[in-house]
Amino acid sequence: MPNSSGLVRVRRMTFPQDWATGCPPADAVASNGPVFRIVSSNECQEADFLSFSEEGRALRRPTPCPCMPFGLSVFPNKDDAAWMSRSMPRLGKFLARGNLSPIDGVTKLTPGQRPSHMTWWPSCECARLDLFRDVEEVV
Amino acid sequence: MWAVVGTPKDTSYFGRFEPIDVLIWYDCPRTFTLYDQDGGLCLVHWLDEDAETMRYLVAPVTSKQIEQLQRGDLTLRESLDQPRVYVVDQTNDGDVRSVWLTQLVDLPQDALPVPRTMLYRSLEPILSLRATGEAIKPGEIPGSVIKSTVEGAQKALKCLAEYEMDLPTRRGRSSRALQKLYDLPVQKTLTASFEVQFRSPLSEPDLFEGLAESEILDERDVLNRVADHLKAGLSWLTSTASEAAALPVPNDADLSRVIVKALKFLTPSPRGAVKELEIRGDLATRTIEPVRLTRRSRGIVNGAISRLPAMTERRVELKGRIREINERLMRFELHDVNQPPLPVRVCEFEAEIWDDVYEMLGVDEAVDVLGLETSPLSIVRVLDLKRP
Repeated sequence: MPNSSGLVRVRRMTFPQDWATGCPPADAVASNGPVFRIVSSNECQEADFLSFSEEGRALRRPTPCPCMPFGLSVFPNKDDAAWMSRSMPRLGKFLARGNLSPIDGVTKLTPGQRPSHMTWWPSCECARLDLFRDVEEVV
Repeated sequence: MWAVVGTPKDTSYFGRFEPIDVLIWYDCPRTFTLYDQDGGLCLVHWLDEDAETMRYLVAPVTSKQIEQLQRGDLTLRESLDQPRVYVVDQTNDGDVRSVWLTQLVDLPQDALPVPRTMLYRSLEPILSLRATGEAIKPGEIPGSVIKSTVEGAQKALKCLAEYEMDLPTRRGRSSRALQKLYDLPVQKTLTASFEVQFRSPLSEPDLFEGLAESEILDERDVLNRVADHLKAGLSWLTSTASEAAALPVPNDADLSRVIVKALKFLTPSPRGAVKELEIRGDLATRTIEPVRLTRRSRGIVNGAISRLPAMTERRVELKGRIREINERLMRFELHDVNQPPLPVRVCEFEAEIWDDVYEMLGVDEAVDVLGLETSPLSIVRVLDLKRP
């Protein structure tokens, strides 16, 4: 929105300083659109939106993409998220739907054998919990 | 974290607990392979975690079992269900804290993959039918059960697929995915009861080769519509009001007619060996709970058919020359028809008379066609062919 002096204020996205060099990856794109994340109850908790790295865990073996442990797994396709919940029920039996906008971070399809698996690197400006208001139980 | 029922083992048994091949990633490697300290291949699957620990199930497996898991011949749970399994606790630094030798039955069942879940969603059967009945026992499956279950599914899908293919908006445009539905590849058969699972035609690697993005989307869209019709029909058939409701799709008699016809192929016959049929899969239901059809369901379908007069089939005897065959739709054109005189009638046939149809293709002599029709101009369902 133009301010009183007529200048457009551009909101700038930043990422944590302690991430590995080159993270998030350069080929990730500005987040945009709905995604689904598995959560533990019908009311989202902050803990549902912590990355592996933010949980204070370390990988035993480096991954091909060193940035992945700093990101969160999400699915643009709800059925894929439901399948993941059935594979590992203790991840949670609820799916939270969030509508990401470009200021919320960057995403990249990291599918392996799952066509819609996506890694989302949330920006420092993103209020993760506020984005995921809609929660439904996996059926 | 829950207490593990099992025998504690040396924490070095799985070496550094390093993934070799990551099969499922969700924030971190959740399902992967590794080698134990003796070089034995193991499948590892995440079970649970708390702030300090990640807990995994480790099952010694063969490379063939991993291949079967990746092909969809085994579910996740079947792959993990080995005679000796271990629970491993890993610290946040990646060190192994504890190892227990245990059994799958001693673990919290809600920490294990839901039964039937495949390694990847794309491997899950698009349709699964499980037939039960007094005459169906392990190792003693009547041939009629196998035939009616497999062919019933294929005929039902063929019926719905043809409806979609014949819509004016689609006429003349082929659909590779729908053609595959006619002969859905069997993924697996299980004989504890009789169960047959069909793989999605969309999982065929070369299915969409050479197609533009818009054409691929169109293919998926039309397959989704077939699934919607089947779901609508099964939902109608199993709802409490189904007997009272006139049609599966109240405002569309044509579609209702097709759906009811398809359902008739699936419902257990009151005189057959199948007492109940459980139907699962994305093609038939939106939940993981199966749809259950019983012999009573056939009565509901028959009731609906009687309310759709055009569906009442009557016997017809035609005489004409077989000229054109559509192998994909399994139809032929009967030309120069007399009794009653018509230039052409379209007839559809079953695989059993394939050879007879080909033998009479193009011959000058007229053949006798015994079949069923719903109207004087409808497609004739061929029961028998006779060469004069």
